[in-house]
Amino acid sequence: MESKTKIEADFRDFVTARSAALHRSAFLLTGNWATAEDLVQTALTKTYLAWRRIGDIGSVEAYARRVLFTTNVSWWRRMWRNEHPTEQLPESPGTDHTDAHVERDLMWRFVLKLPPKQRAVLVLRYYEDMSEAETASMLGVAAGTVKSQCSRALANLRTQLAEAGIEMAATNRHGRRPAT
Amino acid sequence: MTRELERVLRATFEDRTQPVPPQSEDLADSVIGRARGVRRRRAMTGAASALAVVVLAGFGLVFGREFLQPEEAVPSGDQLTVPVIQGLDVAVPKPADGKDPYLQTGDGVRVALPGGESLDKAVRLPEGYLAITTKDDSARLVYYPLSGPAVPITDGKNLSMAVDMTAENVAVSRTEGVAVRLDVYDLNGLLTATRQVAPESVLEGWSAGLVMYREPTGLHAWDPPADAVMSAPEDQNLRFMGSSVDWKTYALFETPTQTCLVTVVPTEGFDIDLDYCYDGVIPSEVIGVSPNGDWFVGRGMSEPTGESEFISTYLAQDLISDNAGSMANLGVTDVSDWVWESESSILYRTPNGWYRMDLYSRSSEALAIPPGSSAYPIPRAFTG
Repeated sequence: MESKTKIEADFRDFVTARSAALHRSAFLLTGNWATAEDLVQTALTKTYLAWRRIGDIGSVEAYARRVLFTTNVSWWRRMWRNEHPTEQLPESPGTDHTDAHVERDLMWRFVLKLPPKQRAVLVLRYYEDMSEAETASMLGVAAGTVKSQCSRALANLRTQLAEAGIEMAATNRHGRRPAT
Repeated sequence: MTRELERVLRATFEDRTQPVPPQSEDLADSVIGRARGVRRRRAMTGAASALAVVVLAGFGLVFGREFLQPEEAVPSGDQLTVPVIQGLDVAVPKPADGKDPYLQTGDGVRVALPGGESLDKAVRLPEGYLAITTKDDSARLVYYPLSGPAVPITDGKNLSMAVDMTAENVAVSRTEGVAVRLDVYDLNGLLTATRQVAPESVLEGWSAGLVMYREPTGLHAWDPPADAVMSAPEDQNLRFMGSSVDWKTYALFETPTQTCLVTVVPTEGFDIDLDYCYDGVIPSEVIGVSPNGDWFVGRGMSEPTGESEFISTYLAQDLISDNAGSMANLGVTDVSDWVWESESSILYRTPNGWYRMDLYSRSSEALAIPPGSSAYPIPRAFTG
């Protein structure tokens, strides 16, 4: 069995190497750095407690990421059931905002409005570059669920962007609408 | 069109994660300190979690009917001594040395049970154990503090028990002729409430201060202080699954096309508050909710294969976004018993012995209970 000192040393190495990446993912899931920090700490604590059971070091990051994603959804669920957040998004800008910055800003706002399960799927698919199968494994759901959640999320984003005056179908590969 | 949307999405994620704020240099120390605190709390309570609720209902069925039959082909006692298993309470009905049965804490304290009686059920409380033992046709419920004399609670025929979320009250059912009676006692053995219920009623557990029991006509909730009973609509055919530390009541019902895991509000006519529906009938011969309400685990025969399955779902992901669940097979067969160890880990038994499974990773490890032993993990009275 690994000694406590060895485990702590390995854990410190892991935190040093991977905490920034975990923070980035956590930020995309939570939408703010402070909550992301809490989420990472919670995920790392669970990971540390399970260290011996996880087995090899190669599995640690996958475990930590799985805890990160599932814990976030769990937090959101409690908040939804107990606190009923009332955060209002700013009003949509007019249709003349067409540059990439505004487009991404709007996209981010709409991503934050997605249910956490859908947001988690998008982060895994388009930020972590995971396949549907890998995403399903990470979230502990069926691949079909990932596909439907992803499809629903993209449709949701497309609709909201369209309502804000940005038509993805009409944008060129630089993210701008062609001149009319 | 979708590709363009995906491109903007990727670019948005990249934009938003640059730069990462400076990381705290003592993050690892902080996490290790936090983890030690968790372990200390676990050690103090003898539990794997500081949270929790007794979930006796689900696994009462398992332990009551299958596990504790005097049965196992161990003629005169276990062949090997059961070691102390850190953090785990173990009941040893048939010790290897042929002496009296005992209960053993995760740090090695033993509580001896009366000789000549067989152990039916035990549950770990913060400061001791409640245990039902039987001899011939008669059963008795006794509170065994870790230090101090045992406190007889009650005796009778066909006793069953469930501990409330304060771990200070125990509901007991017993048969009297063809009738069934429910009583509530405190840990001093003082009877605080009693009620006669229909024949064949079954005590299912506690939820939010209510004693849940099932009559042939359906699920009921008894409020002992008020002696009031609330009944679920018969046509819903609800099955009680357990409760969580936030005092929610979980139930299950099936339609010909769907199985729904729901939370209900007994005080409001068993109104269904939330539901998570799955297409088809899921294996749910025994099903239970984790102490924090995040996980469900079930066991039963799957259709149409007729094989026994062991399944779970992480409800936090089965949100109202699409009302579609993601029940997953845990990849273990022939599970005869299982019990919650913490909010995300379970202990289960197969013909090869007892194992612990982390539901996040679905990885299992064997417990140091000798295969073939009569010993088994004692469920904990989680308090909310």
